[in-house]
Amino acid sequence: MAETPRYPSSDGTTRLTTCSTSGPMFVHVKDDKIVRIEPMQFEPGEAKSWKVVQNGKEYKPPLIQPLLQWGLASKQSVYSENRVKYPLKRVDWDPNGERNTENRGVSGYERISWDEAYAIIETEMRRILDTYGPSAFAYSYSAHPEWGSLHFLFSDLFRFWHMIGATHREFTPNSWEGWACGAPFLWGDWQGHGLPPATDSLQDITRESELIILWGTDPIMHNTYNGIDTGRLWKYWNDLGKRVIVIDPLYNETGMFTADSWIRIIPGTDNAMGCAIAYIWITEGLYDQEYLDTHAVGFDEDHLPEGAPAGKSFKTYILGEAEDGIPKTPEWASKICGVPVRVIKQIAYEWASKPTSMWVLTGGACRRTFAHEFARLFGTLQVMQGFGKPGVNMLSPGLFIAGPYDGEKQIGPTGYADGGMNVVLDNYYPNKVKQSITFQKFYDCVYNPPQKWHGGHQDNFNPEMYLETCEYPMPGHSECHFYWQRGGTLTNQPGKMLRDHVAYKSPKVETFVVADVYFNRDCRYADLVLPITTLFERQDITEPGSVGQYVPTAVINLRSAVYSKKCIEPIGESKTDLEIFEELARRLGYGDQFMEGNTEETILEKMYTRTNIPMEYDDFKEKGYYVWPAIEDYVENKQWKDFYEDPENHPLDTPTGKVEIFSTLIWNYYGPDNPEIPVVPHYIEEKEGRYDPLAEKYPFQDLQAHPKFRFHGKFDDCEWLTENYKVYGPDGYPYEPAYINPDDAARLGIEHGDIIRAFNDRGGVLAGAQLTHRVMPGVVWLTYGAWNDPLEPTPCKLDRSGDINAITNPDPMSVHHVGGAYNSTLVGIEKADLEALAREYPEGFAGKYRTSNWKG
Amino acid sequence: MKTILVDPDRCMQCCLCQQACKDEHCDNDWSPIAKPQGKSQFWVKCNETEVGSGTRMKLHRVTVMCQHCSNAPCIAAGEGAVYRREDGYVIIDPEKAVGNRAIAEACPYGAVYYNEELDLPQKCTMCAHLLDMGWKQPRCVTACPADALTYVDTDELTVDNMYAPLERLHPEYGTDPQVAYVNLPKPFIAGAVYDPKADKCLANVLVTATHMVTGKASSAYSDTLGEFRLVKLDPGFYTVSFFKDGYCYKELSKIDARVSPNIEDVVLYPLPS
Repeated sequence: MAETPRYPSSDGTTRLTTCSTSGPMFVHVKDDKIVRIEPMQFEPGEAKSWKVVQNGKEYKPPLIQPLLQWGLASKQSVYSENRVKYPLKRVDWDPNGERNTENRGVSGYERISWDEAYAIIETEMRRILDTYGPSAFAYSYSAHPEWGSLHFLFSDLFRFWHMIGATHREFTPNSWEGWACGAPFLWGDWQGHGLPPATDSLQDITRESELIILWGTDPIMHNTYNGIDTGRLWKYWNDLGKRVIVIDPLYNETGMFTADSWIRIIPGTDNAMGCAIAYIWITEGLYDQEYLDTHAVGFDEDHLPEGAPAGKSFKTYILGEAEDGIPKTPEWASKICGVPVRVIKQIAYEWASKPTSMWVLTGGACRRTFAHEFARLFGTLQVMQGFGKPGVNMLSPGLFIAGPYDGEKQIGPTGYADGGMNVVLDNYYPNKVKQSITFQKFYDCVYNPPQKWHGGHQDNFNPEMYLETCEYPMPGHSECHFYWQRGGTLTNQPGKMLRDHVAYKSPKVETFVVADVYFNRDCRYADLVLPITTLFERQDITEPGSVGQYVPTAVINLRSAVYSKKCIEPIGESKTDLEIFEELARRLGYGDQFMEGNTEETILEKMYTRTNIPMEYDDFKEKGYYVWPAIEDYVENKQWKDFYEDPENHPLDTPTGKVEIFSTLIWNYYGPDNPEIPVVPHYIEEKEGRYDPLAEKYPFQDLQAHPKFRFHGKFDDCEWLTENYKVYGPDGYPYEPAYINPDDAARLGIEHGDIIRAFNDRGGVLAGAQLTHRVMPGVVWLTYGAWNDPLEPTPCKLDRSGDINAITNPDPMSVHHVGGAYNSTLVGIEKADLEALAREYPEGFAGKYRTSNWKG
Repeated sequence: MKTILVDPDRCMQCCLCQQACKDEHCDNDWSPIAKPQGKSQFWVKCNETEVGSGTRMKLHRVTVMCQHCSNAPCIAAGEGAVYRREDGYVIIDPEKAVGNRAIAEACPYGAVYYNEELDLPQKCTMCAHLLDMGWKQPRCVTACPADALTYVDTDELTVDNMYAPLERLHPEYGTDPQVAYVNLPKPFIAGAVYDPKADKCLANVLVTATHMVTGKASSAYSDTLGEFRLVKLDPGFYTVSFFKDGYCYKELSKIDARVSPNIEDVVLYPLPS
């Protein structure tokens, strides 16, 4: 079947297709150069669309699939100066002599050939195997690499390192940390690790919900794989008259776009307001007692789990009849959270009187000290209103709002699993090394072994698993000495930057290889840097919105499959991870075990054959996409519907099968009175929060709402994006913006555009002040992800780029969880004296330690 | 005429319009319609202005591009180097306009940029080179995720099929701009009403703002949180009245709506029973 060109290509370009982290695209290419990139557009009538109709108004997914902000700037990222173009070796790293590990982050790099790079890696790997065994290898990855299914971490990286055997250096689900470590104890794990599924939420909200509360979340601009493409849907809900209230320290984009009201709440005090809402409902009878009686344990004294101590129910705590003796009245809460009593009351009344959908899963409030309490409390509140009832939902910005889904109209099996190539090749290799390092424990594992912790896995498949102990080194295992990282950047990820930087300088890290598209911060610590292609430089088969197949339902668009055509030849000498692993496997004596005689092409064909797409593979490749028609005779099954209707036959994955407002697992593991994780959800005053004595010294709570024009740490070098938000200083440098309330700024003598220093005991960063009422007083929105530009070799002491993670809180959330407290960060703010700093740090200002300065 | 319709109420300042424009025009030479777009130019630009304050702040986001004016000052300044096509689009001839800074300086909208490298004034072409190839609309419109930009035929727009009255940006400039707008930002008065005795948000309070000179009145009811927002006001000073059964009537005068004021919390006392 030949493609009918939508547009005449009289400009000589050829229109190809691909899919990126920003969405599916048409790529117009001429002479091996990208001429233009467009959002993918389907023909009218190309596929039978699903739709929802309410009150005579219709929502249908658009035929043009909007891209996220960085999508149309792809030419800038593909042709960026910061691409790794050749294999690079740190100049003073000699695998046969001095390794000079203390110079990581400072020394420059030299170009070497692929042959040299492979030879070094092979020799080092053989040495490691002979000296320590495979557990001395550690592999890690960026959670958000270039888009792909075959070319994806759960595919190539997992296959290779599991075949060899290696320690998994993993991260916790840090996008929804508090939910991942808290909610499973309330209502079980679900596929989303604490987050209930999203399928059919779109239809249910459209029909049934009258009130939408955005509690600390920004679904339109959270910027991970989707967001802005939901803009039309939000306007549709506005047109249907749905009331939208945003409760947040920041007037976020979704709020500004859709909300009727913004209520400012002091960061970290959400549970005080949540408890007061519960108090109002309990004292005025505004909740569903019948549902609680049949669906939950621990709400009141009459429904405690068997054998549980008396006086430990949620109701007892809320009413102040427990040990603390404090009734959680709105008056009590108002003094803590800063929301007027009358507003707390009105929110409580309105939430109880209208079917309410809450965007609360993930969001900044779940990445603070004691954030598991936030998850458990807000889950409890919605359970008090009959979670699962028509119109009563809990949702997440990003990946957890979805239309119809049948589990078949997709490219591959979904879920956090060994996916991609592993699904279609004959042999699968389970990792023989059982040891793992949780990222937050990396520093401790390097400097202070042995270490023990729990709950640090990326994947816990039930709440019990969460409490299993991890040990490093595990009995019979080696400490890690060879680190391999696929993509970046992890060092500018939350709350552990300084510790990471120090850890990478340890001589115990004998070899550190980073394979990446861009020379990012991790590369700056590597001994070898391998150049990787962008998605435009290799082929793949994917589907938009699925994140390499590990999130199945997160699509509000037409469900489609996209052929990622190799649009241009690889830049420089870049290769795919797949090619590199294939070569290494052969060199290490694994023969053909990695690819099993396949090529990229034959694996893709096998992956395609598994789908139900009714097109010949070659036709699919030529057309570039396939749109699945709407599911016929579709029966909706929204989140919690089964459990809501019939809890006996659809029990939750908790020990009692019910919602455990009183958690039997927490009770058994921590006892009835652990002050950091009580048996029923509490308000616990956070560490490094507004009421910490440290706030006298560092009075601003730092807010790390996602950057609007970056994907976490990616695309910080695309001028078409940065020119929209960076603050250009008098020295011409693009400083990261720090959004401050004008009242605070006036007090500090800071004017719009001034360069400021944000600091605490951990160090400091520079930033450009932006005065706005979007941020409440006492809070600064200075987010993460700028590419580090340290002014001196000591990491994080003063960072010019303004990546707040240089100084965010690296401490555990609580005794219960190893990480995730980074939003509980206090900073001081002062006007910076740029001229004095430039004199003090001449080398730093010249860019000596800058991330992109690979020449050193 | 077929033109872009801008609705600031639907703009999220995602800047995808800008990026689509740069993707199309930077590093690509579409002569004779346009030479490659210079660095740091915004042939289409989302301008942000913050108004209001506190929880009732608002960002006005108005996308501005060449207005393809019927009475275009750049055509006059161009002395033959700038022309209007039959479809109404104003094009700077990239050969003839070399060195002519007056073309850039003539535009009251600031929509014409000067490319120092090429010594050339440059601006939005409505992607005429693509339209000429049969494309259906300019790139910025296709990129917009929320219909803040749409491509319309203004001859076909009437009060019956438009959701808001059609406007033009700064018609007072007298250039007869051809890009269309709806919902252009205007001042608002916002606040919240409550009963201090019961410490209760007051819903359904009739709030009326009356222009102190023209007498033009605008009304709205407060919502369940007592919040009210009187929108699309003419700039000026207003008397704002608050009426609800069972409560003392209240009037605030000299509310300055040249900017958009947040009058914060307004107290209404219950009538003595």
